[in-house]
Amino acid sequence: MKKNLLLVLLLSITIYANDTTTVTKFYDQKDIGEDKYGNTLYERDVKIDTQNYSIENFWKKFSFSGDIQESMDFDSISKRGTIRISAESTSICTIYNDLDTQGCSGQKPFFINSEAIPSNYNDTVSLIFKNTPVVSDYNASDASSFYPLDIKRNEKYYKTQTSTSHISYPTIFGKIFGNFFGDSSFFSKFFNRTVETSTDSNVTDIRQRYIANIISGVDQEHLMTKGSGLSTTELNNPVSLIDYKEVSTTASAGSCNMMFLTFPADNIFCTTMDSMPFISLFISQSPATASTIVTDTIVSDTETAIISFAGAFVGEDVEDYNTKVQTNFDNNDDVNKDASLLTKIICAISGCDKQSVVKLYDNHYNFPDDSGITMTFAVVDDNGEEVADFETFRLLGVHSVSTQAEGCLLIKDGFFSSSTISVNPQTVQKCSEGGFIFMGYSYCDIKADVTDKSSWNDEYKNMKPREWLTWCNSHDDGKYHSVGWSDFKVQENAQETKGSLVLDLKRIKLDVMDKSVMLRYKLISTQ
Amino acid sequence: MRSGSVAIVPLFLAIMLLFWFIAFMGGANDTLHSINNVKNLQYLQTKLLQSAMRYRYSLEKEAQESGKTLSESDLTKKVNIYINDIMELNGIQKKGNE
Repeated sequence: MKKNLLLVLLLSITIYANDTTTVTKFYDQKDIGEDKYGNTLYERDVKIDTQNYSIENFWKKFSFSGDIQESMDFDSISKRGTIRISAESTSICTIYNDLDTQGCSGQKPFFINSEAIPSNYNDTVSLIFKNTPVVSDYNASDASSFYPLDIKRNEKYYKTQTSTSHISYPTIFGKIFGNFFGDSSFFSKFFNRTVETSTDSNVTDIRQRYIANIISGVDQEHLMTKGSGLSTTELNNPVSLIDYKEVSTTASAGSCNMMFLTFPADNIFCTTMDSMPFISLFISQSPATASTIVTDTIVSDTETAIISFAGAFVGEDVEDYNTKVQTNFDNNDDVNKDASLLTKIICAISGCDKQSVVKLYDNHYNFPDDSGITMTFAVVDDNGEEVADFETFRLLGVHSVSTQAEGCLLIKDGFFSSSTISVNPQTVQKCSEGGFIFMGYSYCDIKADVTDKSSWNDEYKNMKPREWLTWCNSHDDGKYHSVGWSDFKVQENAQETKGSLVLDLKRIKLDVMDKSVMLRYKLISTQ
Repeated sequence: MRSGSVAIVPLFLAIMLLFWFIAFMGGANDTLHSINNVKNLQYLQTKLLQSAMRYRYSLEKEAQESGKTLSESDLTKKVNIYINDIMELNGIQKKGNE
């Protein structure tokens, strides 16, 4: 009986063993933290065990004696190794896996201060895009901004069309913008704008490199590491602050016909449209009312690159943008609001000390929950001199913001004296640069505020910004009107429009199973 | 012409050496082939470790995107088939299959 059982057991083992040849076994995944480039690293062991296999003997055919085995049998040969998996933020290599991955990484050409990092993972933060061509503009304790960087890039990863057998980076950039806007020449249209830098560098090259760095991440040859220095005097060496801006333009009167987003032409919205860098690309004609428009091309480039890339990643295009975008309007009469996002935006755009009535138009576009692109930002040290760390965020939404600041310029009935009544009568400002004294009268540059309101009637002294503007509107008749001791005449109802960009971000830790990450594998040891 | 006929001698020698080598390998000791085969297989296995890992995560991600979840045994089964196929392509077969 025992003998029979043993026979059955042996037979079944043999049959079972014959069914398997190679068995792959995975061990537990270990989280080993971050590398010096801001990627999250994991390690996992895997074993390949080949059992009960045979190999045909190639040489047997040539044996003279003919007694050699036709094949050789082995019971079990195995190899175990440790694979390091590095998870990096979204790049075009995540979408197009035929691309040369040496040109991609998770690092985006942006930096933030440590104050801007939310304290916990999955907390959200809204960051305003801010350009600082010179380091003196940089505010080390600014907790609500992110800044652009110029990082060197190998030409083959953004300019050169390589051979037809391999997908090249310029082709893919064309595809990304082509898919989003339905117009493959869209990308080249970008570079027709008149842009200047404070240096003599080739501005088109800087812009192409910057956009390429946003979409594909910094290339592997120029990755920032913890400790990388930020050059503030020399562009592209290898990491520096970026420096270019558009020559500002004054838009002439026109109508507000756009490819999408339909608003009545006389709507005040239309007058501010042109300052929204992203939206302005779709405006076929100029705004209805003439206004001074201050546009920064770098805002436009950042916005277009981020929206197109993030859209391409989740499979959305300009039609979806049109359907999903939410337009909000906020009229900020009370300039002394607490530190709300609106105030931060106004500070970022117009400066915190410049008090004026600001209207804010916000085109808000949300990406689908938890499937948007991820971006790794550099975190700089307190002096703004080197990269101290990296932080990764998921893009939840983009705000294309336009602010319209209204001011009223009054002329005092007096000799050589003119002043702007801006909007916060409690703020006493000195004459701005250019002021001088002539024959005992102080002459202030027309942008300077009224400095002394002590002789004014009480009703004017404490007027709120909005009330001043209403007063200006109703007294804009070219005559002098008394506000107390002095008479004033409305010279100009000034308007200034500016555009900006705000990103809604969620602090995350990159996970291997996240759809938005790119994984790199490396065999680090075998046993 | 004459120098050409002299030049053919090393060529003949080389061809003879090649024949001898093939015959030697054909009649060589089984152990020699066995060591060689084990080494080759281990090299192949080492190369496949990374592929196995890559394939596993791609399966897992694909499943996740289509809203499914694969159990550990499902995953291992699929990876086994994948690695097995590569093994067979490389002439590594089950015993008794030849």
